[in-house]
Order: sequence, then structure tokens, then C-alpha cells
Amino acid sequence: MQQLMIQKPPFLRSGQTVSTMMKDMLLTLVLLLPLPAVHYGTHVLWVAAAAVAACFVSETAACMIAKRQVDISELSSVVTGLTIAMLMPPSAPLWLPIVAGAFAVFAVRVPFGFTGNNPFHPAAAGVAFVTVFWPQRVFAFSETSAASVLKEGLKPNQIPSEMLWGTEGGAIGTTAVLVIAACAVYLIVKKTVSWRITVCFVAAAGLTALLFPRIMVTPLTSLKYELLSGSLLFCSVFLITDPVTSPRTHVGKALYGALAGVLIMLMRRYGAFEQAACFAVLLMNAVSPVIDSFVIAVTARREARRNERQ
Amino acid sequence: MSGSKKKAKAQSQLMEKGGRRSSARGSKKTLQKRLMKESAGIFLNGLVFRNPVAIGALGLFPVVGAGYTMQNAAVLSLMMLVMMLPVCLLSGWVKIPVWIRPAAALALSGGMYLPAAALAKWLMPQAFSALGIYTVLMIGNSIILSRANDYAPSHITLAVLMDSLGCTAGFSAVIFLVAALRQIWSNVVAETGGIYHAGAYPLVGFLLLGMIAALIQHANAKRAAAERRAK
Amino acid sequence: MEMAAQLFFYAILALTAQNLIFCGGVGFSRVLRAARRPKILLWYAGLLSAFTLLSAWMGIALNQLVPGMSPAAFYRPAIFAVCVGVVYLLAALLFHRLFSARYRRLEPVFSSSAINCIVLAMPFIQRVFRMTGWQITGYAVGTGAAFFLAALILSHAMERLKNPDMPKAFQGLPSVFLYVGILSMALFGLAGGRLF
Repeated sequence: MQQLMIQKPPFLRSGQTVSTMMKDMLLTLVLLLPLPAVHYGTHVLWVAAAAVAACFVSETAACMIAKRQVDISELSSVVTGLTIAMLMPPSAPLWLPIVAGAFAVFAVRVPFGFTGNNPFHPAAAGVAFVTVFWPQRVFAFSETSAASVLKEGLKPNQIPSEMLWGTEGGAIGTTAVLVIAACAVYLIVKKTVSWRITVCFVAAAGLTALLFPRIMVTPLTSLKYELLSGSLLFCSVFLITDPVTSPRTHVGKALYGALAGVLIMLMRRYGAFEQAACFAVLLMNAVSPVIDSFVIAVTARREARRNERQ
Repeated sequence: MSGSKKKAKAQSQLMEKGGRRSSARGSKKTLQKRLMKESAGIFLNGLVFRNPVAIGALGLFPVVGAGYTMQNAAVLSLMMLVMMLPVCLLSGWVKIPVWIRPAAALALSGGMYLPAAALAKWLMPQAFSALGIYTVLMIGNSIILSRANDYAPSHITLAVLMDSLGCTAGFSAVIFLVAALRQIWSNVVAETGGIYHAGAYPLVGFLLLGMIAALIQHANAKRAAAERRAK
Repeated sequence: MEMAAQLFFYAILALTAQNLIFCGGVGFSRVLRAARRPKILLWYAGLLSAFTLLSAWMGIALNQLVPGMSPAAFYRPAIFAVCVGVVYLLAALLFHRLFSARYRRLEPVFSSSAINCIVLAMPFIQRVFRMTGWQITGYAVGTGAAFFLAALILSHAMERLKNPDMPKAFQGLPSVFLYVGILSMALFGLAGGRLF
């Protein structure tokens, strides 16, 4: 007799499984830890451990309350925890990632149906939550970040090439640009993240930086500063590319990435905080189903017209 | 139709205007008992089981936008009581065409705003002034307007009275609970080096409402399951 | 040119940093109801925008006729409520006469598009933020657009929120409240606070 297998979302048509995708993400996030740990000390590792523990314990507690089987092989809560940790300042008090992790699980993952059903990126929502209520804690960097200087309309002291090595002020996992780029290549080759979203996001953000610089420098310098500062590149690889919250269609993904790139630049200029990546991701998550509907409607109309001509 | 369903339909028709005479069968004492039971049911529905805010998604702006301190909650609850009862009762008594009802309800609501505002200003002047637009917008409160438009014209005075009291109690319960939690949150955030008045942001109101609505829905589901098992 | 720029700027403000719906928490019940009727959403939002605009202009007239310091200022909200009611009745009569088929289709939402907190809030906003005629016009148009976008996003979200894996306690309205709360938090990044 044929056996029916009930699969849990997200439903993927590539050779990937949820488990392999999560393992790839986990590997790349772990690779982002050594540089800041060497530069800022072991507290960075404690922050990461606290975030992961908070997400894991919250998920387990939620499963017990909802009388659901706890699936340890499903690494999504661990990935959420590490992503949150990467967006924390190196000197964050341990309760900060714990609060972010608990919110990500209890308010963003569990109520909407656990893995694969969340309408918003849980880590982005968790970090946005703590940013709203504790902005001074979230942006308490030991060195002045380039993002905060750019927000004030001034030119950062560092030259762009110095911003590649993860030594400038910023969140734990967002400053090591070369490592992030290597992670991006790995994840794109493994088809864990969509290259369309990443490329369109970076291209749109870069074009906005070229055409509308925030500071009085050459367009190319503005481009370098904008792309290398804050959590823009981290967002382009780890946040905006989440397969659950991004559009399903190829054109939709490209449009989504481009709009997100423009939005993040607008929020950097006019928004309330020096780093707006998480808020931009959440807004785009909300618009993602609308983009899909729009693309599907346009495609269907084109098909109908083609059929009429034939 | 089964016997129990017939009984439930007869009971609900008891509270409707022009309800079937068969639903009013029985001695005067029996009728009074049924009316009391129905009235209690209507009140409890408004208070908990069909809470207008958490289940009906009505009257959200006072809870979300202004319900972040207990004083605000008190002012808005008082205004709700003073406005809702007369507006709903008058809407039930005055016969007007359906398409004019919304305008009439709004005009009545605007009229009743004046004594409500005067009373609130007299009792709690500082809280009233601090609320600003949120007191004025009570005129357009969707709980008042929807009950005056949809419920009052088709139900007897007793039902309208109990419904208004129940909805007011339900609104007050939710706004006080949300305000208390938001004040606690404001204190916690301020003491841990965060922003001041953290609970005042609408996002906190929405998130708390979501949790409260989930709790009520869970209670309703348990109640329904218990009733099914009893049958 | 300057007036057009003001109009545009205030329309953008109404959509973003001074969003009445997400930053003020006003008119959300209507957004939810509009999201449940995606087929007539555009008409609903259009009607609401029109009534909001009318209300904004009426508010300017009322604020000039009944200044803040006058004894009649206490009665302003009630007077305005009656004016809004009259506008709704006239609009309903006109629509019924000129576009009866369309009116029959829009009847369930016609009164709620005219009588709601967004419409009632316009005179207050004009007074508190000291907006000129062009500015409040832009703000009213922007608020209508914000209403449409919010309802559009919610209508798509509500489709996605129908999933069997969701815990029963959160199915339906509770998950919608949480969704809106997170969306409101996302807009916080742009607006940075409360409106009032």
C-alpha cells in the first residue's frame, strides 16, 4: 500500500530539505563568530549562547504548551538565535538577546504555526523589538560606528578598505564584510538563498547611494560607505533572503530585493534609527504576498493575451 | 429541527422585537425567569464570550491608541458608559429607515458626547485633557455605532440595556487590563535603561490585544467542548 | 508649485511618519473590515478618501467659525459629528440617484466609509498640527492611500494566516492583532513614535 508522507512547510521544489538549508545557514552564522570573538573577547560567545538558548527553550516550552512534538533536528530556532546574536552589540547584556529571542519565538513563530508559517522574519522582529524599547543598549558600540556618523550627515573617520575586516564599531556579525561575502557565495552556490534577492537588494541600495549620497563625497565613496556600514550586507544574505517570508516567484524575488534595497536606504536617511535593516525587512515581509499576487496577475494576463492572439 | 435547537431559537427570539408569540409561552413567572436568564447571557456575551474589542475587533483605537495608563482607561470607560446606554436605547426606541440609521446614531453619539465629556472633565480633568483627540473620537467609537445601528433597532429594551452594559463592561475590562499591562511594561523598560513610556506605543496595544483575544478564544473553545460533552 | 509640493509632502507624511492608522491607532476596525472585502476594497478606500477630504475641508471651516477660545468650542465635536452625518446622507442620496447599481453593491460599506474615526479625526489633526488647506488636503489623500495599502496588505495576510498548523487559540482575529502589532513595530523604524 502507498504511504502518504505529510511534509511540514516551507515546501521546496529544489533538491534541498529544510534540514540541509538550516545546516548551511548555521554553518555560515557560526563562521561569523571567530573574528568578533578575537576582537571583542569571549562575551560575544556568551551573547550568542544566550540568544540560542532563549530561542531553543522558548520553542520547547511553546511546543509543550501546544502539545506538539519537539523536533530537535529542526534547527530553525537555533538559526533564529544565532541571527539575533549577530545583530547584537558586542557588549550587550545577556538579557537583551534573551528578550529578543523570546519575542521572536512567542510572538512571531509560535502564534502563526511554528516553522514555515511565520509571516515575518523572527530574528528581524526580535531585534526590532529590542531596538524599539532599548535603542541605547542596541547601539552601544565600543567604537563609533560608521552608520551612526553617516546618520548625522558626516563622513566616517575610517576609509572604506578598513571596514572590510570586522574591526570597526558595529553589531557582532555585521562588520566582517569579507566573511559575509564568502558566506553569501557559499549559500548562493548551495541554493540556500536566492541570488536574485541578494543581487537586486545590493544593486538597488548601491544605486540609491550613488544617486542620492547622504554625505558630501563622491558618488563612489558614498557607495562604498553605504554598502560597508551598518547591517546592510548582513541583511542581504541572512535576513531578506528567508524563503518563508520572501516571494515565491522569480520576478517577485527580484522586485522584492530591489524594493527592499531602496527602502533600507530611505529608512537610513529618514528613519528613527541609525540601522534600519530589521525594520525594512519586516515591512518588505508584509508586502511580499502582494508582490507575488501582482506578478502572478500580470503573468496570467500576458498568457491570456498570448493565447488570444494564437 | 431538534428539540434543543427549537428551544434555543425560541429563547433568542424572546429578546427580538416582534419575536414569535410561541417563544413567550408559559406563566408570567416562567417568562420572567427566562428573560433574566437571557439578559444575563447577553451581558456575559458582551463582557467575555463575544467581547466587542477582543472578539469583535470594534472600538480598537481607545484601547490601542490611548489605553496605556489606568487614568486614561478610567476616563474612556466612563465616557463609554455615559454615551453607549442612551445612544443605544434611543436608537432602539426611534423608528427610522435603515439607510438613515448610521447618521442618526452618529448625531446621537455626538449629542451624548457633551455630557460625557463634561462629567469626565469634572471628575478627572488632567487625564481628560491629556487624552486630547481620543476623547473626541469616542463619538465615532465603532462599538457604540455598530450596536446602535445593528442591534438596538431589532431587540427589546431589556436586551439593548443588557447588551450596552455588557459591551461597556467588556470594553472597560479589556482597556483596564491592557492599560495595567502597558504600565507595567513601561516601568520595566524604563528601569532597565530603555525608553520612557514604552507602553504608550500602539504596537504594544496590538500585541497585548492579540494575546488577550487568544486567551478568550481558548476559553470559548473549552466552554464549547464542555457543552458538547455534557450533551 | 509650492502648493503641489506641500500637498505631496503631507501625503507622504500621512503614509509614513504620521500614519494615522499605525502610529495613532485610529480607524483600525475599518481597515480590518475593508480587508475582509477585497473585491470592493478599492471603492471602499476611494469613498473613505473622499469623505476624509470633505471632512478635512469642513474642519477648516468649522475651526474658523468656532475658534478655540470661544465658549462654543466645547460643542465643536458634536457640531462636527452632525455635519458628517448630514454629508453622509447627502452623499448616499446622490449616489443612490446617480449610480444606483453601484450604490446597491457598495451599500454595506457606504456608511462605514463616511462615518468612522479617520473622518472624525481630520479637524483635530488640522488644528493640532496647524496645517494649511493644501497641507490637510495632502494629508487626507495620504491617509486614504494609507488606508488602502493597510487593507490590501492585511487582506493578503489574512489569506496566508489561514493555516492548519496555527494553534487554535490564535486562529482568526488573535493572529491578525499580532500581525498588525508587528507591522506597527516595523513602521516605528520610520516614524519613531506615537502620533498624539
